[in-house]
Amino acid sequence: MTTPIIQINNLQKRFGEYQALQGLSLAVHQGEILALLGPNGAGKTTTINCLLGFLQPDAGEITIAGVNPQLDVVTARQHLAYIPEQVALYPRLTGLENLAYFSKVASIDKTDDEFRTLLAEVKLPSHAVDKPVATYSKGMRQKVGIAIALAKQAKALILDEPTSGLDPSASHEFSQLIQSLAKQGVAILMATHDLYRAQEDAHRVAIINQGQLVDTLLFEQLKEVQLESVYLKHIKVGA
Amino acid sequence: MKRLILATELKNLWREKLVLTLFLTTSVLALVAFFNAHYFANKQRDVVLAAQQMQQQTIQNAKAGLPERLASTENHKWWEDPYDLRGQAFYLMQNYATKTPLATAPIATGQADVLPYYFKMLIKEKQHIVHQYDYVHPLSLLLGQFDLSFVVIYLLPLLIISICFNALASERQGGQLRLLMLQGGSATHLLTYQLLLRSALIVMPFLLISSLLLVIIRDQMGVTELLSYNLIVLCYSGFWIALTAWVNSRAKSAANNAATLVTCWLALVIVVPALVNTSIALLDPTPSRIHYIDSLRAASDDAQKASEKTLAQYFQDHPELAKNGSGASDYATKKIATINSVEHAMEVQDARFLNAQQAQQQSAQKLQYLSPALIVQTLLVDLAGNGLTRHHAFMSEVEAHHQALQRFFANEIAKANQRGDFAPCDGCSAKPTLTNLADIPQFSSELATPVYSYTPLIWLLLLAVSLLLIAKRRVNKLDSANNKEVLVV
Amino acid sequence: MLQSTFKKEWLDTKRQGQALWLSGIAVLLLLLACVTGFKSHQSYQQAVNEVSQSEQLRWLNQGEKGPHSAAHYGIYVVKPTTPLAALDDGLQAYQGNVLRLEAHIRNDSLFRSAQDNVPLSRFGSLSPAFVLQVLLPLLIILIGYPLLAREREQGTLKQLLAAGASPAKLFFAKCAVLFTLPCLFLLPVALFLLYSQTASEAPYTLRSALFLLSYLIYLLLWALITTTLSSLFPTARRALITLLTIWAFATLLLPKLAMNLATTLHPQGSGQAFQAKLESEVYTDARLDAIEKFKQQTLAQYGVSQVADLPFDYAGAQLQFGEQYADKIFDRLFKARLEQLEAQSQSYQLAGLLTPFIAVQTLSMATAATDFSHQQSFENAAEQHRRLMQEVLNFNQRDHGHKAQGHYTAGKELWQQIPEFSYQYPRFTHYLPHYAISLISLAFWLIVLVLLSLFAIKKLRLEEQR
Repeated sequence: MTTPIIQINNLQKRFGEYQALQGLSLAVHQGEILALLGPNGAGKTTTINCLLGFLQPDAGEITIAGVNPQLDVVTARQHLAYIPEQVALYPRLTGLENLAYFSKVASIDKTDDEFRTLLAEVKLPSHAVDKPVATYSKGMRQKVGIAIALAKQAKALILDEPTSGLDPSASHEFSQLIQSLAKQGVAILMATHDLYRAQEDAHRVAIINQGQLVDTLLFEQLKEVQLESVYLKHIKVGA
Repeated sequence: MKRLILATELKNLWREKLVLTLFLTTSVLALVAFFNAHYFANKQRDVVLAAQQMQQQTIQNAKAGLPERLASTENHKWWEDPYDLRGQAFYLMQNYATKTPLATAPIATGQADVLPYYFKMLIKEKQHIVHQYDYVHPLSLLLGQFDLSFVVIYLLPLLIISICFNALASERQGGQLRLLMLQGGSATHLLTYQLLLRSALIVMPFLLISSLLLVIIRDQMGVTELLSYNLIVLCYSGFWIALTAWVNSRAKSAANNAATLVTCWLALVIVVPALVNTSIALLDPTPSRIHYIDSLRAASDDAQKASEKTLAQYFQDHPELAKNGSGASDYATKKIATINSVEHAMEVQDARFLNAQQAQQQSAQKLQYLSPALIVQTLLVDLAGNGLTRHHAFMSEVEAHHQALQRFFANEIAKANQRGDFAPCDGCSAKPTLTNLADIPQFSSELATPVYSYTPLIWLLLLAVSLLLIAKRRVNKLDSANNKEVLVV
Repeated sequence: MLQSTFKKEWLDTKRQGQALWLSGIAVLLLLLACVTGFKSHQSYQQAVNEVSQSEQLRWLNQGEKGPHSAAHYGIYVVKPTTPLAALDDGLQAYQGNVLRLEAHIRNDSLFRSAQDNVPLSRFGSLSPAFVLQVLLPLLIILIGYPLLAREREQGTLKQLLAAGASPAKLFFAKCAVLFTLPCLFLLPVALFLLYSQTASEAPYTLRSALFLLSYLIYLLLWALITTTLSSLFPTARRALITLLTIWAFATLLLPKLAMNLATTLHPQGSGQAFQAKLESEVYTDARLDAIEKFKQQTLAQYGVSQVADLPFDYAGAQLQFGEQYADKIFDRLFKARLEQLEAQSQSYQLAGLLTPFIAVQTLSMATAATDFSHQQSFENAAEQHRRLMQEVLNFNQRDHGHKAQGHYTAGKELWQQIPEFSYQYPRFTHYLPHYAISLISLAFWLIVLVLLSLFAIKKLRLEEQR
């Protein structure tokens, strides 16, 4: 078994009366794609916020490539890349300028040509590279997001609803990109409602509900079951 | 990192077409405000020069006309005779006490449009001298001049608010902040550089252009005054930048920030100064000038009654009907005596007004700390030489000059009386009793450059630093990984 | 639907914490302003009454003296005020309230109270007019800017319209809320105006009605523009910034610039030059020649060779001639100065087409009789009184001076012949032509904003289809 890059042990988080996470434990290994499924309010976003260091859990431990974000958020984030549902870029800057800016903030000093190569790698249309991001489609913005992650050479990549709103071809392109990243050894945690994409791309699927991990399915198991039935069974059980 | 954030921020602002807009706006404001106030100050300076020239011209004309006058055998009426002490004293004298606008005048018109800056001196009750004023449309006094201080106090903060209200807030709401922090960036750095750059785009062009204009166009602009002006504007702008930082650090929406900042501006620049002004007027009200007139009339009546007879009273009004010269010459001495008596009787009343104004000024100095706008207005008006400090010093000089003129004429008239110079002789014209108008004391001002207290600026800086420290602590919390709730969405 | 939308908007606005405390602050400020305004007006009125009486007594009891001595003794008259001055003191502080009437000289009014104030008085004081003209529009903006824009941002606007809500009714309901709220602030003002109708001797009904109507229209204009821009802009933030910019321009910047421009376009010479001109044009050789000519004509008329032979006191006749000579010059010079000042006033009023603030400010001061035109009315009436005084006194000298043994003196019987100066402002209809531009400006703005509102409603109708 390869080393877990993302390790979550017994994570607890309460917001007032509401227990968002109840002892969640999971791990994402090097080169693995873990799809995190769960209904709205299951604790996916809370988990991601804790991983990214934007939220302090009440109990439990998190490590990103062996670094606890609560103890050393700067180093932890150096190993981490994140692509939200809406990739937040500066609308008046071009795709190239956004990539260059966010990369240089991370002290990644590449030339413009190198950045262009990166954008070509993620299959951003060449005519769009020097256009303001305000003119981009969701898929194109996502590609810039992936390019930022690539430039960073992060060990872990967290995706939040990455295929929401993408058309089938963009969704397929995205799938190919993350597969390629996984092959390069990046540990990928993908929170999603897209059961089809989860079944197609993930090496493992983790289902969480009411802040707890209720089931984990391996790739081989995914081929034999109807993921939807399994998912709904767990959700009904939890309700 | 600093250069990267600044360069990207500048690029964003440039593409939003804000850089050029802001630069043009502040430049135009600086130009219009400066030239408007500069022309206003120049108009006053021209009036002062015209008065001084008229005074000198009168002296020259009298000098030139003296031989003709000495040779003349016509019957000269003393009240129309420029070579008669009494005529000069009570009717004809062209003697002015003037206050020239300073080089710094365009900075703040202050009370310069309301307070008198020149007085035509005559031997009469000082109460009738010092209440002269330059007649202008009262609406222009109500609305005030569009000068540099108006831009500094009212408009610069609004411009700073309009460009800085969404610093950090827009990145927070848009999600760029999250990405930036994940890339190793810091919310504190982002907010700091955004505020510095955006406010610099507003304050620097304004300061640069207005300072250049002050140096190039105004004569004898001092370095100290220029530096003081820049310091005051920077401190005031610094307060507003700090306030914007504090508001942004609350991590609320950009629209909420805008509403909060505008409410702060309204409170600190409009409402609090108006309230302070109203309170000062209520707590230390100025006595009624209408009742003052009543007192002045009563005092004049009493002084008149104390003088001798109704006949003398009558000669006082029409000395051309006096049967002999001694009646007319006594008249002059009596008149000066009456004037003195009225001035003396009105001392209490005048002191009431001065005391009320001083009490108001003291209250204003204490209450100014309630609003940065009040602090800065006081400092700029004093720097421009258009405040009460310089005006009171000027009025002291005017009153001293008035006393000097009274003494001069009283002495000279008494001497002329003793020599019998006022007694006409049969077959000859009245003797000139004042052959050189240059002998009349001329007003000279030794107004020292006022010394300003910069203590209020320290208060402003303290406020700004406090706000910045609170903002820094709050924004540092955003950068921290130990937040119990998600602050960066 | 209009009623239910209005009710919903009213409840919504009431429940907005911001609306509540902003309104609370505005109420407190208005009440404070009304109290201080009323107090100030009362003390001024008291001073006017006391000193006018005192001056009249002084005039009547000045004792026996020559009529021309009395003319030099003169009298001070005080400018009266109307009850509306408690609401808008206008230019009171910047215009002298006391005028000296004496022989040979036409004075300017004395004692501008602004000269006694400290520099921070230039920030303005809290008067009801200030609250109504400057602060209430801001209240309207801060409450009203998100009314439609936020609904658009949240997506509820499209939902509402798709559900069949009429864009026009929606627009007017929101506008009605924005208009109704500040109108509540006008209630204390209206009550005061009603009270002053009953309490004062002169009713000033037309002035009061026009005062109230101007402010109603003004607040309506701000409600319209706020609702319109809220509906036109895609985000509440942009609507807010635009409205605040308009407010700053309309109430702070444009009036100042307009007046500065007016004084530049119609420059007025300095007071020093004016006084110098007065002196140099009155006391001239031409005047001496004219007096000599008058003397010769009088002698010729009566067929005598010396003034002592005239059947009246020539001194009195000459004094009156001298007064009338000077009066013609005063008329010319003061008229020329007034023309420049009037031109400045008209130029400023014209700028009311750029900002309704100028129009309402002008009408407010005008109805309160605290503006420049009313000051001129008072000064003109006082000048006429001064001339009447000189005529009565000089003619008395002329008719009786030659009969006296020694110097002629008069007493109370003569002083009583001059009526007490008691001035009341003419009915406002007398002034209406002067303020035509401001009335037209308000009407202009009303038309423009109604048209803009219709345009905004039209765009709302297309909102559904987006």
